Formats: sequence, C-alpha cells, structure tokens
Amino acid sequence: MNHPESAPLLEVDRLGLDLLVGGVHRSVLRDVSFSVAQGEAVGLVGESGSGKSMTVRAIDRLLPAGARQRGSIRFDGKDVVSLSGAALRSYRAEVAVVFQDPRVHINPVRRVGDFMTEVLRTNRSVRRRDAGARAVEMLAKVGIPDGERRLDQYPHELSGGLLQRVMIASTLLTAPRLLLADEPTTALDVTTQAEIMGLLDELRSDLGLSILFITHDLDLAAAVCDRTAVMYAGEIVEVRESRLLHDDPLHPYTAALGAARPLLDRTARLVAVPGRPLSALEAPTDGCAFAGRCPYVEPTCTSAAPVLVPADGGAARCVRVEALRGTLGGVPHA
Amino acid sequence: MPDVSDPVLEVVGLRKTFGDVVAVEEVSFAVRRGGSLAIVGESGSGKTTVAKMVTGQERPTAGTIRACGRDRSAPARGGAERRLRGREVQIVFQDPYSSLDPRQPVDRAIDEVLRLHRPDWSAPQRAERVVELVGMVGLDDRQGSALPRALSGGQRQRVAIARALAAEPEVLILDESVAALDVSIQAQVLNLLIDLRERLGITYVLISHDLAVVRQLTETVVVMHRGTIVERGRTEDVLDAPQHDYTRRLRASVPTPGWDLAAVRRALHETRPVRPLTPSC
Repeated sequence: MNHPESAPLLEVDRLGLDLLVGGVHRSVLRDVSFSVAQGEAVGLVGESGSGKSMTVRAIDRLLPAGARQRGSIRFDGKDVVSLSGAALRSYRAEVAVVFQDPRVHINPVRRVGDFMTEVLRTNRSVRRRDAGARAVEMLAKVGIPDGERRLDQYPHELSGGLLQRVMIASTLLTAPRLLLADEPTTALDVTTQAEIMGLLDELRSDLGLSILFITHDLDLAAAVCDRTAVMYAGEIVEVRESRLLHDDPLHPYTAALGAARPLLDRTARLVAVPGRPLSALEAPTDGCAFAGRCPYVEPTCTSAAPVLVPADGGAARCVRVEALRGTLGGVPHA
Repeated sequence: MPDVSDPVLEVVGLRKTFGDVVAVEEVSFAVRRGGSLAIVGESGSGKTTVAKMVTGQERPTAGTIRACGRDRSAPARGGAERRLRGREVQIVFQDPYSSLDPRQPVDRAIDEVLRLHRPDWSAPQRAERVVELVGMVGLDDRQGSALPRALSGGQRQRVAIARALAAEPEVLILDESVAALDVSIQAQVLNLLIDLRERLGITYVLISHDLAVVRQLTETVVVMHRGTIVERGRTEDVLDAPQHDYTRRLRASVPTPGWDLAAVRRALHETRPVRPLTPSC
C-alpha cells in the first residue's frame, strides 16, 4: 500500500512551536519535518517531554491558547494552519485521533451508541437509526460482533481494550484518511496491545489508511511502522526506515534508546545513558540537545545547533553522523 | 516452586475472594533467600492481589504466607509485630508520583522509616545512614534534601527504593516499579536494582507484565492467568520455551521487528481471553 513516490498525504515542514509558560513564550518544537504517505505507517518515538504529543496537537489544531507556530503543516496539499469553520471541521473528520486512555476522553454517563453517532447526527445530518446501523457495521469491522448490544452500554461496562476498539470504530465513522494514534496501547495489556496493533495494521491495508503512530516504545514502532522518526527535546534527531533505524542507528540517542531496553532472549548489563531526558523547554539553542548525555560528544557538538543531515535514505541530526556511521550498533534481534 | 532450599518467602494454597468473585485460587510459590522471583500476568490475573496479601494490605481467604520463617497470614497484632513484618517485607510501587508525601523532603522521608525501625539509634547515627542510603541509590546530597516535586520520575523511584531499603527488609516487592519510567531512566533503575541485590543479598519479588524486564531481573517466574498459576520455572526456560498456551500468547504479543501482525492477531482470536471481574488489579 506504499506509494512513497506520490505526494505525501501529510507534510510537516520545519514546524516550530512556542508555548506560553508563566507569561513567557518558550520554544517546545524546533525544525520538525516529516511526511506520511497514503497508506503508510510512520512512527514518532520519544521519551517524556520530547514534543511528540505536542506535534500531534499541532497537526490536529488542538494547541493551547497563546501558542506561536512556525513552518507549515499540509494535508493533501492544503495548508492546515489557516483552516477555520467548516473547512476545519471537515479536516478533523479526515484526520482522526486515537488517544492513550479512552476513559479520559469519553463522557462516562453517555451510552456508547450516543457518542459514537454524535458526529454523524450533528455534522452530517444522518438520521439516528441510520447512524446506529453504521456504528454497528464499524464495530464489526474492529472485531466487535455484538454491536447492537454494545451501543446500549456505558463506557464503564467495557474493558480497556474493548473501549479502545470502540474509540477506533467511532473515528472510522467519518471515513478518515489519516489516523493520529497517540500511544493508543500504552494503557493496555500486552496481549490487548498486540490485538489493537493488528487491527490498526489491518485497517491500513484494507482501507488504505495512513497512520502516524506516537509511542515511547522503539521496539513497537519498529515492529509496526514503515518509517520512524525519533524525537529528543523538541527536535527530530533521526528519521529513517524503521528496520534500519532499529538495526543500524545513525544518531547516538537512537542507539542509546535501543541499548537501554532489556532483551527478551538474553540478559546483559544494560547500557544506561547517564542523566535524564532533556525536555524541549530546557534544550540549548546553540548546540546539540543530547550532547550532555552523549558518549561520542566532541567540542563541535556544543558550538552550533546541528541540522538534519541526509543519510542512508533518511536523516540524522548529528554533526558526527559520517564518522559514527555503522559503529553505533543496533538492537540485536529478539 | 517445589524444592526451594532456605526459602525466605513461602506462599501455600493462597486464595482470595471478593464476594462471589474468586480473584486468586491455589497460588503457591517459594523464593530462596537472595533469589529473585517474577509474578507475571496481565490486569485481572490476580498478581497485585497476591502482592497485597504478602504485604498484609489484603487478608487471604485461605492459605498461608510465611516470610523469614514466620507466619503472616493473619493481620499483625500491634505495632511491634507490624514493625517486625516491615523488616521482613517492603514494597516499591509503580507510581513514584503518588507514593511519596509531597511536603516531605527526601532525607526526612527516609529518616522517618529509620526512626520507626531503629528507635535505639541517635539522630547523628540516623543522619549518617540517610546519607548512605541516598548515595546507595545514586542520588546526590542536593537531591537528598529536595522535595519530591523537584525530582524527576526516575529520581523519585530511587527515593522510594531508598526508603524501602531503610527498613533493611529481607524481601523487596517490586510492584511494576519500573513500568512508568522512561526507557533511558528505566535502564538506570534496573541496573541499580541488580547491583543492590548483589551487594545486599536481598530477595526480590517482581510483579510485572513486561517479559523483558522479568528476564533482566529474575531467576524464577510464575505466570498467572485468571487468578491461578498456569506456568512456573526458571525464567529463561519459561521465556525461551513457554509450555502453557497463555504464556505462549503473552510471549508472541511482545513486539519485535518483523512482527507478523496478521499471525499475532489470528493467534489471539483463536484463544481470546475472557477477563474475570476482579475489583482490584
């Protein structure tokens, strides 16, 4: 389903973002560029404070008041930042978000059927009975056979995995082309996670859905995404084909993330990066944000902010990318 | 686990019901002194209920729990008995943000435990031990006198570990203690836990859903599903060659590069888990 040669469905170009923190504008995203093609799954991986969720919010136009944005976000060739009114509503129907914890994003006193069909009834003037029938159809598509009964239930009557499938089904009702999946399985059990990821993959191949998959889990991104972008302190530090990024990382931070995870098939002392992840708010503007924790740091690393250097079919934000190429080792296969 | 010599913790025929719901049924295991056991399972498996019974937060409906050779199946009688049990088993919880008092600086939080368990120690003796414990978990002096809000998640979890170690317990229960940490921080805390066990000879009981963390930290494992143990053995044997259907499913659900999602999904559909309704976990 990949058509990387055609124009990308989503194109984020040099996205920068300042947020009001205590009355002052502080930079949280810098020079974020990536694209998602039709039917492609792209991973956005990072630790807390890396800016991955803020990137999703910028794409979905859900930024907090006072936010200052630079660069551009284009969807199907159209500028997203200038959308308003009906155009914004129809954009949001085409770009659906699946959140980490469905219970936070759901009204606990409304029945499943009521919230699932709301958009169809209010924005698309679909009659209640028809909307209900479409909801049952979508529930069947995500592996919930007894949709009729589920529509009458309340959220608390469903397990986390079931509720997440309901959320996915309800986003599908508006026939989106891009799914922004923001840690959709982090709150779920391992076997449920596998099931939800399998479902998303199936929707991608059946419906040609594009997916931007936000996660802290490099292994998970590598397992399900064609390409992966790694974020650190508000910047993309590496973006490449997932398999390459996992097996032969170009950026020391990507390598560090891989080496920090314990393995399933053997025990070895973990290579722990010293210090803690820098949040975007703390990142220096005149040098590499990872320099303070990087085992390969050189004086040049802190003298100027590194740019994304094209390499191996992707790009890495490291001034030493040529020197380090092929030496950072990858995560051995489990 | 049969034939565990010198068990420091021994649980036999543990059962817990909440009303009509059976949360834990026929759970037995033992951990050798200085050993490390994982209790693996998903939500509703009963693993947290087992941990709560061992720490005394829940009372077993049936079965016995012995730690350091002493029975703890029934609630402690009085403060002395509770303190004694506190020196046998301590617990570190998952969420380092809710397990510390936000108004209490780190050193006072640790000192509080020492005052309870070492009433005969003088203030300077305790202060010396606080500094030692803070250093042992890799925090500096400044962090040692900070309030929890000034610390990151990983640093708070180090404080929780230092606080648990202050009681000098024989057994440390790690209830998903590294699950909420960022990957790079998780590695630091895992390394710390491995070092502490080597250095102190302390026994770990790890409650976890993360098989890679289980492999890293434990020598034996019991796999729980719907309240009972479905598989047990040496950690590497169980993970490399899982015997029970459920363990296999759990193992196949761990994402790896080249994951065959369609196959994973088919396998899951063939044996879909039915979640028991337990009020805890």
